[in-house]
Amino acid sequence: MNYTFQFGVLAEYGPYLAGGLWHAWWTSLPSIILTTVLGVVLAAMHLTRSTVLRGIAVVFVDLFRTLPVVVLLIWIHYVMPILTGWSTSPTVSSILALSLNGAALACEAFRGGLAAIPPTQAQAAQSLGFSRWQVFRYVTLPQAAFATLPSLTNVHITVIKNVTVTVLIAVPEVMFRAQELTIQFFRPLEFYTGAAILYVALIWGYAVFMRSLEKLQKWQPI
Amino acid sequence: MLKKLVAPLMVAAAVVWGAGTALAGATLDRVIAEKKLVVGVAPWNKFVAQNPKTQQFEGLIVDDIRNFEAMTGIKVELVNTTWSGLIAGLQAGKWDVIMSGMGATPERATAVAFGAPFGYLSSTAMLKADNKAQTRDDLDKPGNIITAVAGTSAFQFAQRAFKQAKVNGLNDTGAAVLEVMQGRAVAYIGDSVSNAMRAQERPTELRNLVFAPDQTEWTTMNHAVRYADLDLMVFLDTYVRAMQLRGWYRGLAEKWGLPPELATGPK
Repeated sequence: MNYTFQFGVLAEYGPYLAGGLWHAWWTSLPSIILTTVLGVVLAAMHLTRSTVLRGIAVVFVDLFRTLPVVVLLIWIHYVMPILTGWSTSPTVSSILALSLNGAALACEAFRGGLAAIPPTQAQAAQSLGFSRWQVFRYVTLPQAAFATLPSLTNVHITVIKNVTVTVLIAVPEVMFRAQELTIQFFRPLEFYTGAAILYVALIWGYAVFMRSLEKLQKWQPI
Repeated sequence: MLKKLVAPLMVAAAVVWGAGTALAGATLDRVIAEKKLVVGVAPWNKFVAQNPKTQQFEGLIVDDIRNFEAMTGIKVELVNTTWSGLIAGLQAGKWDVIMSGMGATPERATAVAFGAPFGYLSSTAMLKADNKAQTRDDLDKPGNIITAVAGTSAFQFAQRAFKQAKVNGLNDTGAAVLEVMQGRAVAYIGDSVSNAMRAQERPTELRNLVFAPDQTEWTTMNHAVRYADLDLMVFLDTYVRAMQLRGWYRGLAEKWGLPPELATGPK
């Protein structure tokens, strides 16, 4: 292949590229938080006796798990303003799209964790007078949370990686900046390699943090 | 149940249509009253790009926008986006006008209204430096692959011009030119200015093949607005026409080291 690599451009424009990590992180973090909270809520809805709530949870998960993030992103950012007049910034649109998709995945992760808790624990707690909500809040969820952490970490990493898709609506994160630099200086392999290194660093750092949470394990399964 | 939905849906459609009609003219009124114009731009080297060191927008189109600001007193807010998002963003009301030198084509005109041209570009081919092809016909052979960025004027030109070679549309210029550099394609069809710049920057790797005048197609560079904002386009066109007559765009082409045909068009 007739391509002369010049990785020196990363030294010159690396700071600009790395500046995109700030936007990548502040798009990922709110998405991860919303993903987790909404995932717990949806998982709890799955466990209720209400057919309506269970139905809503099932429809939500099936819809947002199957919709490609790209389509969801374009719909929220470009189509929703036309239909509703409600326009959001690229970052807010990205957080919404990533959270909706991530919550559907997180719900399934939590459901798996909750299903792993023996039902005898809930029965024992109820026999002590705990309400269904108290059983969920004090017995099953704390244990399920730690059991779910490895799967949840995967969901969170998926959310972080999906931030690269937001290049479509010009969130100024790492991939968008790599694209901008490529257009200006035409060093695609160098800039996209730089982008890859930055994302690996971000995701690896996050994975290390989540593994340290797994080691806490305050609630050992009985 | 469907019959019960028809009436409310028709009312909703009438309200939306009425609102859209009522808004015609509202954009220009707002721009003039607030002295603010929101402009969608996409990165294009030498025309409109954010300097990574200063974070300021630079380029021929940016200079033109700053001149427009100075002459009209209207502050322009530049919103950086991607080429694929420019029209969608305009239709969604994210910006009032696209000022990224978008080429006016009949297909795009079904979605947005284009103004008077302020620049002109032809299509050329980017080849590997050791490729000996001299004409478009040298490239148009069975088995050859030609790349272009999907959805662009250059892509449409390539589809019309190359009858025997296969034309592949890719998502971005980097990928399309890499196909050529890696030998998976024989040529990339792009605009004359960008191709000339790339070949100049990498003379040992790339070569720019300029087609004969009857073998290329020219496209214009235009601003674009929603059809509901044609009065805004009249306002912008007044500026463009006045500046053309003053030789402003010729001067800008010279300042940015671009060929004079950019301002004058084909001879």
